Amino acid sequence: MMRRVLQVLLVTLFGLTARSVAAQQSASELLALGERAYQNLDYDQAAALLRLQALTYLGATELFRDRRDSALAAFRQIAVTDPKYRPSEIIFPPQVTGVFQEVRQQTKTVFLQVPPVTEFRAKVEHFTARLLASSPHDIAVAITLPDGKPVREVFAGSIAESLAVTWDGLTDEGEPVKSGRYLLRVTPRSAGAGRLVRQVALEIERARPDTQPWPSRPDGTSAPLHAPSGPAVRSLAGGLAAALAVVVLPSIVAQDAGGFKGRFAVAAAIGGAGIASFVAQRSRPPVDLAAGASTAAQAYRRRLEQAQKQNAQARAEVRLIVRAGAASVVELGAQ
Amino acid sequence: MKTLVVAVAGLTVLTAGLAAQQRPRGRAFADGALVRYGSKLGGADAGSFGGPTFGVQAGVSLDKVTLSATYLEGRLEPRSGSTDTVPRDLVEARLLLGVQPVPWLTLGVGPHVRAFVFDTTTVRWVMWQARARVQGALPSTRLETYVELWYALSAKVNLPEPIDHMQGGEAGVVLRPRGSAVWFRLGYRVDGAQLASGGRSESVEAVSFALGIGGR
Repeated sequence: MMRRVLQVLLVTLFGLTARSVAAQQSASELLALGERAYQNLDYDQAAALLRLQALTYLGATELFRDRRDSALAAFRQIAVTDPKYRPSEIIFPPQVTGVFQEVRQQTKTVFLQVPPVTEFRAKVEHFTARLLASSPHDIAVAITLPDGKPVREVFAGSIAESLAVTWDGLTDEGEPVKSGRYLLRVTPRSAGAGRLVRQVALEIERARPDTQPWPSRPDGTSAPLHAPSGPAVRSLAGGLAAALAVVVLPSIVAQDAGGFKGRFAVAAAIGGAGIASFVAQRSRPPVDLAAGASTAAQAYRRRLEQAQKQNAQARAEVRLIVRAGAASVVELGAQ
Repeated sequence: MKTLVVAVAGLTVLTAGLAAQQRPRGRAFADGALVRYGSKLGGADAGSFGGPTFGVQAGVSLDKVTLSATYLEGRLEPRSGSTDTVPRDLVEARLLLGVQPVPWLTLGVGPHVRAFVFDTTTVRWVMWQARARVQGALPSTRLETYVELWYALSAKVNLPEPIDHMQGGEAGVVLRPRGSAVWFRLGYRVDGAQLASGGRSESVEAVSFALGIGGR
């Protein structure tokens, strides 16, 4: 009995001594990091470092105070805050790190790393998010509306330590998403309450197409935005005027003429020619280079057609700007 | 008549200078037409005839000046219901000196003879015409439309009644296929004459189709 008491006392003394030395070292290191983050105005980092430090010591303390539930709660909070965090095995004894590992294995959550701003072409390029898991488990990653209504599932499967998921900007229907607020939501697929859903708010904006300016004309002026209507209208007017002349000529120059019915066929042909020319004019490119067969004019036409083609492609594709907001954790069992 | 001769001479001298250093360009076309000829006396039908005519035209251009000659003839038969049932030949000849001051306008002047040839006699109309023709291409097509009006500066006919006035017009469309010297023309022409008595009038209408080469 005496021997057992002695052993407990020795272990306790050793532990207290070791913890005291380690705590002094850890406090100085983590405090230094937290102080540095604070001085760099990185308050989030400073808070995280200090919180992790405090929680670690809190958990270890509660464990040695035989208040296991409080210790588990502190360690669970660490696992939720930073899945990569591990208590130093030099500072903390195996019974602390062992309990922490158990808590981390049971805590199924992921840590989301999303670039603050991403601009990409929907369907062609991707938005990428990096996931860090607290422990291997099955997850589902989806883009949802703020109310949780799914827009597009981007991943469903297992995650070990880390995973990169990509999203092409499309909905489940294959259409680019509209501008608005969305969530990137990571949900554990295991059943049961207490599941932690990690989500990041995404502010998505459809960018205006980046079109090229019209090339300068050979005469130095800018190309018109619309096809000039003058030639087309003149064509139509010319054709219709000639057709009208055919119809009314007998009454103008020979009032007693019988009015040859065949002239109406001629009038129809002339009027049709005018209409055909009008239509052809309206459907042609917005520059009249008919009279300009020069090399400069041809080069200009090629540049114009190329700009038109590229602008049409730019309008056809949708560029998305994704701004990531703050991450948050929702406990499904608590909803 | 004296005024007309002076006008033609002046036009010739004026345009000769412009054309002096240009190479002449020729043109020719064949013309087929369906003709309607009608005569009225006091507003009542005095005869209605119809038939095909065929003709040719040749011309030469020097810069903005064109000299052309036209000849056509055909047989006109009385149409059903015509009060005059005597068939006749229609023969026409025309010489025209034209100038094109701007691309869309052509002015011309020249003599025009029209004859109705019967078995025993010929009714001959002789007139000096002043013509104005407006033409314009239809962009993005190979088509060109034109409207032409003419007025007889002087006119004579070997009928008991002299001619009071005479005028006419023509309109149509010309197609020139890409890369081809050949062109096609579909047109309608009509002219009317009022004799001095005031009671008699005559008119000639035609829908014509021409196939040409060279200038239009």
